[in-house]
Amino acid sequence: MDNVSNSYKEETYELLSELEAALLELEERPDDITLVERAFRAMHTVKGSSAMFGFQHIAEFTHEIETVFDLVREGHIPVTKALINLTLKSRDQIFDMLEITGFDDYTSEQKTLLENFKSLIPEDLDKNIDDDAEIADDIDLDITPETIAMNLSENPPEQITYRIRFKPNENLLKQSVNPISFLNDVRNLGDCTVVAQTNKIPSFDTIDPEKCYTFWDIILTTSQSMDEIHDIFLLIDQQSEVTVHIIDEGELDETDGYKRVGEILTERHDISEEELENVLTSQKRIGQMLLDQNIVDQGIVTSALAEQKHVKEKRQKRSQAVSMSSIRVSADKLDMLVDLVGELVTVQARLTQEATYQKKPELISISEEVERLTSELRDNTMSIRMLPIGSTFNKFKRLVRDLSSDLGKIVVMKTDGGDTELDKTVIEKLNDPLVHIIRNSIDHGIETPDIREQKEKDREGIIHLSAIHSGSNVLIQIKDDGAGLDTRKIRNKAIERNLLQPEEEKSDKEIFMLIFESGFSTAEEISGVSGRGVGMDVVKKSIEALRGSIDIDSNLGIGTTITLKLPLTLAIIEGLLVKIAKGFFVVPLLAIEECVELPPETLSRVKQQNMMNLRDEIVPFLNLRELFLIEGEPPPVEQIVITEAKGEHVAFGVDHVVGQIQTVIKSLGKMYREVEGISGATILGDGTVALILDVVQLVQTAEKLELGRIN
Amino acid sequence: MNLEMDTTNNQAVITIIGEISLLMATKMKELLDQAMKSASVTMIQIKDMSFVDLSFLQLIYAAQQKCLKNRKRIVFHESCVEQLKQYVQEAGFSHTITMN
Repeated sequence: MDNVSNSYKEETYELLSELEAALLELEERPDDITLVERAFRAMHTVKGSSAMFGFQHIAEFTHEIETVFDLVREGHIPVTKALINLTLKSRDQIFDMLEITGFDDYTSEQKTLLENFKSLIPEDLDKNIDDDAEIADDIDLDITPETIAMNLSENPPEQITYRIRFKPNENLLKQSVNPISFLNDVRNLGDCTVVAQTNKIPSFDTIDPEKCYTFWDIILTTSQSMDEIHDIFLLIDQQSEVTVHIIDEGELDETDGYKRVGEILTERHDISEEELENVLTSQKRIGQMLLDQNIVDQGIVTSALAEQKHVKEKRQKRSQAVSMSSIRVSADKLDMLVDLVGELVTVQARLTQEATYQKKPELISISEEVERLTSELRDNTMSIRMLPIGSTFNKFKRLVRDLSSDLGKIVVMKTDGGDTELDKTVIEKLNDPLVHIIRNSIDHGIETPDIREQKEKDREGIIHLSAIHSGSNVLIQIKDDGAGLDTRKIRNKAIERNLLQPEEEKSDKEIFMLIFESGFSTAEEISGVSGRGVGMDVVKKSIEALRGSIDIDSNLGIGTTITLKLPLTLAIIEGLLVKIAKGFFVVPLLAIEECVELPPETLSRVKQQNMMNLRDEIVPFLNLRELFLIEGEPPPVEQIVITEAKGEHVAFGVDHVVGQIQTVIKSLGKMYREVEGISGATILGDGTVALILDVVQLVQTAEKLELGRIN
Repeated sequence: MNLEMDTTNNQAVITIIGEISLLMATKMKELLDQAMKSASVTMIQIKDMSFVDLSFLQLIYAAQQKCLKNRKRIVFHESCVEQLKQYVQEAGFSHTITMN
């Protein structure tokens, strides 16, 4: 597929999201006309661009919905739940149509939807609409491919500024024609400045009050063509004069100003070049000079000044818009940029190390400058990849709406912190886990309206999605006011599934965490939505794969809160650099609780028992030297890194803790991708490769090895 | 016709009720003429204003020009100023008609 078609699809997906968001809001506020306009605009653009790109079937399909929404705009059709349902379903069909290549005919569902839309149109309006549609289609066909590309861009249609001089016939008023109505029609085309020229109005004693003496200079900025302007004056008599000139074509000028008043006046033939030349010799402002010399009257100067001001403002706005505009860049290019910045960071670290080693002041100075620039470049590049999570939150509104309706529940989704930014990759990978959590909340958490009423709760359940920054992490919370988790039920199910021994004591929190175990579900019935126990364990794994963690809190009868802790970015890691023999490893800082040093005799006992006592807490100990089969003798004093994995503390024995490090993550080659306990690598300043440890996986590997030994 | 004039204490008050159309243009000119002759200040009051014709704006412009020469004034009743301003602006007369 070529780039233009790709950009069409990308833009249409965005428009469909916009349409969906507008419809969901409209459902809540059916009287809000701005939302009807928003939905209409999205449909109109989908229709237009689809027709331009040869997706005629999408254009025609959208046209039917747009027609109905046009009537909604005009107040002929009310906004009802049925209309919203139909439109949302149609929106999904358009989405599907974009996905498939080739088109034979609409599916039976699509045909039914079209029929349903047609049936919404009152009979007396049906014919008029057909006529209008034909006209509209004719206009669409005139658009050239060049215009298509322009229309698809994020810029609004080109705005042209016209100068219109309207000189009505003297007897126009006697013909019962009101010239001011023409001015109002012109105003409807765009941004307009109107100046009446009154110099032909005679003195009060001689004026014939029924005659029209006034003429007008109108400056209009619009996306409409000159023909559209002439059409307004189509029915005016032959004696009236209408001239239309383009004075600004909407292109960016080197200057953001406009012509001088003298230039405007000579161009309009209000004064001659000679008259202009004569007055320019004096020191007064040109307008005043012309007035003083009675060359023109106040109205003429006023209209020239108005024209100058109007166009100047337009040009300045255009110039600002260009300077503030954004461009669309493919994600691949961004990824490549991040990779290159990663390489640069590595080289810069080497340079810093080499400069320090050589102790040459000039080299150190250069390396410090490179370090500063690299750091700025890295931060800027990473910020480009950051996206607000709000767009992801908005997607779930539809999920909540449809699912709660299917399950006979009333659920409202509220969001907070939608502008919190996260790395693009994190956001993309967060979608599925959030879908699972929300589906579970609606299916198992929120009660039916009747049950909620019995429990003296509002019939309407609430799911509250929020995001907030917490250091270098983002906390995403999914909170519902449903039934909450029943620790007794979870405990019984865990015992039934051998996940817990009957005599085993567990805190409420530990019991809650059991729902993330594979195949765990307390649902008594398996529904199409959830209950098979597939999902929450996948959710946990997905969050951990994002180097995040998951936490759960619940109160029976009050509700459940699930908190996801995620790193801001996956491209950079904050870690602790540790050394074992000659090898370097990075432990993600997110997983680290503390570092401790034990006396040799205690350490020796810990190593034998694979357990250590941390302030009266028995913590499993993993000797990384042993786990990675690293040969050689450990140093006399070893250090221990205490981490948190799967909700419990785990201690790792290392030779040395080098220090905190912020580094760019490099993915491992195919051969090493399956190595358990290693999630990636990074290159240190001296070119050495350091492996990044996956703490959770390491613990799992150690558990497997331990089980193997026992068996 | 919903058009009348009252003169007291060197101030003439012209009261217009409803639409100001071409039909009342001639009568309006007569009243303005009388008002300007009889008083130094002419107050125009428009009640239930629904439409203002170009003929009225032209007359007011011409009358204000005459007042300017004769050191007289035409003013508008505060109850109708805002709405009238709107009509004046729509017709592009803002720079020519003085609104109080």
